[in-house]
Amino acid sequence: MKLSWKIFRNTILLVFFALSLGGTIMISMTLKHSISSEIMQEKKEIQSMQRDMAVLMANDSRTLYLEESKVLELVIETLNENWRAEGRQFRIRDKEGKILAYSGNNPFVDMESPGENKLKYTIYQEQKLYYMQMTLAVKFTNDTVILDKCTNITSIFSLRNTQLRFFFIIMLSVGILCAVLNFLNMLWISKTLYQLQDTVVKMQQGDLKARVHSNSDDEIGVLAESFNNMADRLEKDILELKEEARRQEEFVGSFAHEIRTPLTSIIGYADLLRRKQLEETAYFTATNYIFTEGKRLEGLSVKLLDLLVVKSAVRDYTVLSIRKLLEDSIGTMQSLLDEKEITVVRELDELNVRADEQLMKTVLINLMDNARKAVDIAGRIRIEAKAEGKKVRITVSDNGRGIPTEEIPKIQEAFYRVDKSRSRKEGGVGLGLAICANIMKLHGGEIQFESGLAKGTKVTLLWEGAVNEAQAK
Amino acid sequence: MKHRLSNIREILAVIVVTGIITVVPYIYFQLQEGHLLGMKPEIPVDTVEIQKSNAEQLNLEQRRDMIRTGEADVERISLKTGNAYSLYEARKQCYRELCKIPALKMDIDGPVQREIDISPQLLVNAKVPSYSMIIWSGSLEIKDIPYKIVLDEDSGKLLSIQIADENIKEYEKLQEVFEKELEEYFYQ
Repeated sequence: MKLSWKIFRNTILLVFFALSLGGTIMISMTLKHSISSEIMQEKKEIQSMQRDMAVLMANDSRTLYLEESKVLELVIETLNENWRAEGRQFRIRDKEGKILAYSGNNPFVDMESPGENKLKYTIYQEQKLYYMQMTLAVKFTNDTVILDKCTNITSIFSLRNTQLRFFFIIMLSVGILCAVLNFLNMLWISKTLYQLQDTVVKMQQGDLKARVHSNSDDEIGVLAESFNNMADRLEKDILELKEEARRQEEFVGSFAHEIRTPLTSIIGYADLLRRKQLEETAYFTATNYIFTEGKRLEGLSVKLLDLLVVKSAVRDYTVLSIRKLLEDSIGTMQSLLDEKEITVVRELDELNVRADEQLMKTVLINLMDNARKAVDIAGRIRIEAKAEGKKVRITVSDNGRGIPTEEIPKIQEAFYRVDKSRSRKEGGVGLGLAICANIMKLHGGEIQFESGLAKGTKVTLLWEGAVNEAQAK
Repeated sequence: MKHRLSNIREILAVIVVTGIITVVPYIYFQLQEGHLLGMKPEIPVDTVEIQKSNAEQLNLEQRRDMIRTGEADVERISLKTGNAYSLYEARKQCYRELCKIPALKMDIDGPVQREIDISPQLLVNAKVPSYSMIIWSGSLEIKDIPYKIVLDEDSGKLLSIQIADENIKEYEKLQEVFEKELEEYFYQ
């Protein structure tokens, strides 16, 4: 059942209930008030009639020579005519119930005589008409008569019935109108909610780009915005996971390829050695291939181990002199650099850094080795190190062949090589930069590349590792 | 199918609840009416006891004021006859008193006694029921001018004479003369 229908249903019930309760209370109070007013009016009337009797009795000079009962009869006779002329509905009885005077017309009910200083009243229905009768005992010296006064109060009940009819029509119209208006209002308010529902269904069907378009700033609008944020995050995570899965797949593929290539050579030459008696030169060539490719496999396993070790390495941060760190790294590479007559230009600030010495050396050696491979004979490598606030910036740039701009985003992936044949020839397996990137990530830093074909390559290491003198001590 | 059944159930429930909400007021009013029709309650009331004493007798001035002001609290009860006068005696007394007002010229233009149309009434002050009096009130015509007259039974004096038709010629002037002569007559 739709939310808008539920709102419609609840509104109509609520409005009906509220109107029904309010109307019932109001009509009931009106009826009670009308009856109370009628009682007060009738009370005044019957008191006036009682007064008339009393005054007439007191003023009648016949009381001097006639019995009270006789005079009373004459007084009643006089009043009977007067009251009839005034249109009053009355009945006068004696204590035994004998009717002494009766106005006719209205029906009377028999009510017992009320107590002293009290009057009794009752409301009754006779042939669909409503009457109110009041009864009062009028006492004289010796006699007591019972005065009944009756009034037609059908108009009060007719008014009540009219009010009820109007109330029912109003309740029905207002209830339906309110419910319809609220239904439309709800449709308008819940527009975003329906959009949200559609979007969820679309996302369920795999459309990760689906979003809710809402300008509302109410709770539903906030919910839609939160949903969009969640969807953005989810989309990003899913894309990252997909990318990670692709990388894993590529890694496994590259790894298999990297292993198969040397193994093919090893197996081929080993088979040749097994099946044929080779000449010494050919024999040397074959065993050399087996040795070289075996070494490559060993190198590959070492690098893979490095990669695994780096990912789960326990960091051992110490405060180091940047100059010493770089000089040690250059020292390690010096013999290889000398082979290609490469000049290393240093521009180093005197500063201390916080880093894992062994891991950071691995990064620097890898970068210098890559630079070495990239430059030609008598090339130049420039190493700069400086502090930028809390950050340390080390730049290794070369004037080598450079990397095509479109390849730059991929070069940190494992086994990725820009020039595969050349790299293999140089002894690379395509894991160096992946290791460097992981080490920088462990230091909470990053590795940036700037390069272009024949423009050389500039690699920047950046991490929050600058240590001031006080900290260094 | 399941949803449709559930929806039909919901709609039926709404109709039933709406019906109950609509019918309840009618039932309530039926019960209220039943309660009202069945009851016979007693309410306190002040009973009137009239003890006529001389102290509470109205003087002539007060009687005249009661007639003149025509207070809303004054009730009139028509009587068959007075205490002191019969209709014949009342007419006779009335004629006698009217003759004392010169402007009326009763002795020249006045009607015969039986043409004086008067009847007795008991006037009661609703606020102070002990303040009551019997008057003879009625009308007569003298030379085509209709008059309304009031005679006090206790004193036998005229309490009021008024021209009944305000449209007659020189009404105000005539009324003024009557008032003046009535004032003189009253304190004789």
